[in-house]
Amino acid sequence: MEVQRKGMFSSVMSWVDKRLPLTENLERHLTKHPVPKKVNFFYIFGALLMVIFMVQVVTGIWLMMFYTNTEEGAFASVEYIMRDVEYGWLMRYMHSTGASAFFFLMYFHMFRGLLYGSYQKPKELVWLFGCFLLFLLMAEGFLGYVLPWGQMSYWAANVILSLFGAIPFIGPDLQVWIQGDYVLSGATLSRFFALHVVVVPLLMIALVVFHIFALHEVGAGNPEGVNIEKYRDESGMPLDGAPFHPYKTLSALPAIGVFFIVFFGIVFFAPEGGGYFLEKPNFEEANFLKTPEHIAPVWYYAPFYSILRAITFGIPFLGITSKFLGFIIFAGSIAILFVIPWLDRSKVQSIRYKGVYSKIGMVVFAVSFITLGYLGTKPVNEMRTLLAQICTLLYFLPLILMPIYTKYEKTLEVPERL
Amino acid sequence: MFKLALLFFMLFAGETWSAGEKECGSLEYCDEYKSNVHDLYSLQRGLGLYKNYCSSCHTLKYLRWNRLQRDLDIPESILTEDLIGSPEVKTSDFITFGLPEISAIGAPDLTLRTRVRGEEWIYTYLRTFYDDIDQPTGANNLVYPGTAMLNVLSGLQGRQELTPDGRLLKSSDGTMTKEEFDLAIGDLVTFLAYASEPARITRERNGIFVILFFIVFTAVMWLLNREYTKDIK
Amino acid sequence: MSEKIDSTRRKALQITSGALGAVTVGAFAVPFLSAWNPSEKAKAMGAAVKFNLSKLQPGSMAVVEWRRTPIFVVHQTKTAKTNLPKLNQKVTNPALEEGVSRSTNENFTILKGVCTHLSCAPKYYPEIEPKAWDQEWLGGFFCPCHGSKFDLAGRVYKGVPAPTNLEVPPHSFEGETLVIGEEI
Repeated sequence: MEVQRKGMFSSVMSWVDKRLPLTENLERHLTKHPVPKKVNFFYIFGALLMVIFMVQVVTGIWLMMFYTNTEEGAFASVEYIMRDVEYGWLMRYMHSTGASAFFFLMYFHMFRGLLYGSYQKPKELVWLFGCFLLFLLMAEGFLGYVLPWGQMSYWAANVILSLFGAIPFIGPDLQVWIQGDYVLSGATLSRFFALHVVVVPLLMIALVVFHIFALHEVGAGNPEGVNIEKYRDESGMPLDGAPFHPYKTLSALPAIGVFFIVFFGIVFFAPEGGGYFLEKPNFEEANFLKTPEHIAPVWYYAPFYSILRAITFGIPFLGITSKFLGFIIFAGSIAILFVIPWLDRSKVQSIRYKGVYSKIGMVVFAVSFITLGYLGTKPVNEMRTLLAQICTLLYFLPLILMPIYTKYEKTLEVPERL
Repeated sequence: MFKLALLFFMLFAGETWSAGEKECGSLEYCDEYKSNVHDLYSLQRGLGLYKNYCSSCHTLKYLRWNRLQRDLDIPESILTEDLIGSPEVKTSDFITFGLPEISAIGAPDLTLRTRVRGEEWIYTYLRTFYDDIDQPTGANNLVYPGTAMLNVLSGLQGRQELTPDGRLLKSSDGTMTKEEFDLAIGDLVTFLAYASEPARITRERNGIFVILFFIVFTAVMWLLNREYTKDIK
Repeated sequence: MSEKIDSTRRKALQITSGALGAVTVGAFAVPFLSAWNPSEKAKAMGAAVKFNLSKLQPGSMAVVEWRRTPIFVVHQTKTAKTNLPKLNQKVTNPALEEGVSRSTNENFTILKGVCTHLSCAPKYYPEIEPKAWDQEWLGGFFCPCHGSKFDLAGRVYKGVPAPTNLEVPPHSFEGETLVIGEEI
């Protein structure tokens, strides 16, 4: 019986394989794809990002079933979801907590990339697709944040949209075009809804596919920066590698469990995240006559918002206002991440074997990023603006100087095997 | 490099010292209060206060009568006769007490108020009214100076006056002692916290089972993974 | 390959984790499937409606809306009540066990105003007089779309396109008040 079923299964598979390279691709990407045996904690975030992406897609589809994308109905429809729809509150909290979780995992995933040189040749495209994903995630988060049409949705969107208005010559017209109105209105809300639920997620899915295909072409890295492809056994499997499935997939499961403990801990016991995940003013419907006392971005934009706010000066003789310069530096703080593969000229991948300047640079970069994040959630005062300006400088400096110090600093010998 | 780091830390230290922001309206700190929406009697007492002191000006436009009835365990007769008191209003209607959406005097809807301001803000606000003849309402508030709200609770609390050094002093007694009044306002805030998120009762009650489930899940998956990792050691 | 592999232990762990996985998927499905149930808003809109019968004269009909359906409330005359049993031979299903008026109160008939043929709205013709569609008309409902005939109690005549009697919605009487629909 067992034999017969196997026979039938394999004949079905061979029928399919002649028409669609299914087995070949399963082996290539799952059962025979080699991944390093020994990696550390930082290497789990990719898998968790896949999980949270799926959570966001599914809860998002369900929320979309009950949400109203009009100026008059949006705010009330969120309360409708929270009160009248069975488990609507769960969908909404999972989605809002999911947004924060997405960024949290994304930042760690990218920090892993920086630490262990996951962008170095030949992984430039993996890194580039990843940076595009960060950019899309930021856009997605922003668009989604407008949808509940609360006070913070409205005024934060106003702040960001007015940035486009700061671009010389085309700015004001561009802003009106994006808004679809002379002010931020229901027209803007409706198009943001379409972008949030269809356009950006589709682009993200495509990029995730590219990101993973590119990764599987060049092979996953490890904290040592060792090339595992060098030494193989008779079957062709690298000695320091193991098949992705079942070893990598199974090792992700307990991590997913831990992640869900934290995730649902927040969803069930602290969905507002102390006002950092769901901000208080957003429980009041958008009112274009009344600005909230203190407009703070959600925590995951805070570092970049801080950079934006830190630029209190323009370049008058070039006709660049402080607002536009702020926009440029703000955009630059994200854009510079894209070119990191070409800034790093080190012979080694991992921070473990890089020189002291790389290590200092990494610490300075991380500390300034976190400090900027802290400052971004606080109201401005003189001291904080100065601190934010210093941190902005310290954010860029390790990256801008990277071509110099990585080229000349002394590196350690990388071992042959993991 | 070292000097730069030093400067950085000095600035950061300065930052923590400068944390003198007012966290509670015009007050530095709110009085501490944490609502317990699982205390049915507290919720019911809060509802009573709401009905008697708030409902003539404020609405609860996102909360339905029958939801309130279910969650607060209110008998049908009390709901229809004492609380709703009008044959025109269905039990599935929102709690608007026949008031227009934003009532004529501009009193805000209270459904989501505790989520906008925070529970402690409301708790402090409702207890810091004092007499002020310069105000059109004859009363002022420490948390929210110039508030348009009348001091409707003075009958319970008694009247208060502001001393020159910024403290409140009782000038006449109400029907409640200070302790009773604090408890009553606590009940009212608990009720408003419930109204702002009725799902909180289910959420906080069932969350623990989800967490426990994932603890078991993690343990089993950890064992499974450890078992398989033996292959590649 | 290590030699320490205990295949029983491995099998047990596989089964346990497989079962746990299934429970996880099932548990995740519950809220998502439940969310498709009628919401509180839908329940509020679909709740029972009340109608005051005191002003409805014998022989007249009121149309009450319940769940987006017209509900016919007919106050039967004495003549109608004596005439209805005479039609038992002409209708497909006399449904006498429901009482002459097909309701718990003999004076009233409550019907969904939806023809059981193709969902047109039948018209109310209470007069006892020869009609184009029936020379011996004793009053009832006639559907203008495809000519289905029903008597005053909503029972369908033989030989018309409609297959069954007009539906009786759930209802109850509280004194002078008619309650259409039921507790959800």
